[in-house]
This record gives sequence, structure tokens and C-alpha cells, in this order.
Amino acid sequence: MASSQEATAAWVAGRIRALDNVTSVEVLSPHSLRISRKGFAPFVAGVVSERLVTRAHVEAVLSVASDAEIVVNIPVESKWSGSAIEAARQSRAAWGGLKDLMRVAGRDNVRGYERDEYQFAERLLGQFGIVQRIEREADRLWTLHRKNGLRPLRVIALSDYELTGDSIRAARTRYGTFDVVFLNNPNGKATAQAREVANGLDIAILMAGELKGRLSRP
Amino acid sequence: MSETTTPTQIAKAIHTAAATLRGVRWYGFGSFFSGAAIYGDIDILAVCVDAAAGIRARAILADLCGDLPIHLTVMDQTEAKATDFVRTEAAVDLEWLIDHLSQTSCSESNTI
Repeated sequence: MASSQEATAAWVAGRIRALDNVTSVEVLSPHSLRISRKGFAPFVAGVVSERLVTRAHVEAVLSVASDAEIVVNIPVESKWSGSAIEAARQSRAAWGGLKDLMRVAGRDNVRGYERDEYQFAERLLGQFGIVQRIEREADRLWTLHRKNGLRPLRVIALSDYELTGDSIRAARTRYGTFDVVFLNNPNGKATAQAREVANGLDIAILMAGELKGRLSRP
Repeated sequence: MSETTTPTQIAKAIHTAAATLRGVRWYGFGSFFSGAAIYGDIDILAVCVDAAAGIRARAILADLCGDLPIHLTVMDQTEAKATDFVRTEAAVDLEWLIDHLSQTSCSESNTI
């Protein structure tokens, strides 16, 4: 049975209070916390606990905590839909998970935060000459609309240090079909099983330097 | 979800998973299992005999993963050996936890 949202907010508050630079955490509602820290202004965080975060979840949180500068979702094994990300961005709120909330607690600009791995993936995928535009489908998933009549490619960015066969299967279950796994960790490696699973699903596993070649092919 | 329910919740879920799914070795690694007060997620590794067991392991832990920031890594035995993941991540074998809970529940049922 899922924990209540009240318990989740209290639990998150406990995690954030443990940070050295945090002076106090106030639970404002089951979906919001006010975090005071040393050296920077206090900020409000919206909290959800969903396996799939939708626009409706983000809007519901922001309707009760309109001053939230970040919205965080607690389960790691979860997905943010593209529309949920768009809703957060439209309200100039950052988005992420518990780790991201811990990171922004030590930063002045909370609203401008985006997880490094996502920021890097989005920038990289959008910079190829063959790409006309990119569409954020989910936290880790982009559709690349290409020039020259080439079909769109769905690219998922995974940052596993050891990319396993299960990583590919779990991503497929959570995100649906995709053409390319962009291994978004310079030290990351794919196991033989990961390559076998990917081959079976007609998915390419590529590092940053290998993307350009794939994007220019049908 | 209080401070104390987190370890208890994890222990119970792993215990149930171990009882339901034989042949899976459960490990904990990262900040949470090294006893750090500050952790962003809770890293659990399941080393399974095959891919099907891995899929079942994910299904069994789905509720736990829906409640807590669990990062679940699933490997088959060949992958675990090839990557030397348990050693390099200093993963803690959770077998003792499973045994401990089995004995506890056994003694509780005896008492009852």
C-alpha cells in the first residue's frame, strides 16, 4: 500500500533537515515544504509521489503552492511525462527528484536548476545539423525530428555506469519504444547482455561521439 | 513513512521478495547502506539467475519502489561476475537481514 502524501512530505522534510546548510524545513501542506538555508533565501518545494508524473499532478501541486520553485517526485523508478515537464517550466519551476532537491538546497538559483545529465542530453541532441527540432517526450526520452525526409528517431538517455540487459528492458517497459539508447555517462559501459537485448529490439546503444553517424542514416 | 519505517519497510519488502522468488541474491549499496545520514536514493541490487527472474524481482518490489526513492539495479549472474559490481560498489549482502527477519517471524509465530 502506498504511503500517504502527508507521511511522504514529512519524510522528505526529515531528509532535507539532515543537510548541513539547511536551517529549517517547514511542512506547509502534504504537497509543499518551505526550506530555509544558510546564505540563500528560503524557497518552497512542491512534492509529489507518483510512478508517472503528469501535467495534472504538477498543476495540482502548483495550485496549492504557487510559489514553489521546484517540484520533486520521490520515487526514482518513475517517469516525468513531457507535458509535466512543460507545466513545471511554464511556471518557471525546476523539476526532479529527492537528489535534485538536495542539490538545489545549496544553490541560490533554484528555479534555473536542471539536472546536469538532462541538460547535457538535451543540448547535445539539439545541436546536430540533421536535427530540425527536438521534442521532449519524457524526462529521459526525446523525439528527434530530422531534415531531408528522414523519419523521426526516439532517443532515450540512460546514465547507468553499468548498463545491463534489465536496464534496457525496464526502460522499454517504462518509456515504450525507442530507437537509440544514448549512454549519457562518459564512464558508462553496456554489458554483453544489454547489447543482446538491444539487438533483439533493434535498438542501438551509442555514446555521445557515435550519435552523429546514426542520426544521418535512415 | 517515518525515520524508522524506511529500513523496516525495506527489510520487510526484501524478506517477502526473497521468500517469493528463490535464487535471487539481494544486496544494498551506496550512501543509505553505508549508514550515511544524508542520502538521495536507496540503492538495491538483485542478482538473478536469468532475465525472467529479474523481471519478477522488479514486479515484486514495485510497491516499495513506488513509495521510496529506491534505485533498483538488476543483473543476471553473468553480468554481476563480468562487472564485478558487488566488489566495486562495496555492496552489502542482505542475506543476514532476510535470515534475521525469518527467525523473528518464526519466533513470533511460535509465541502466538
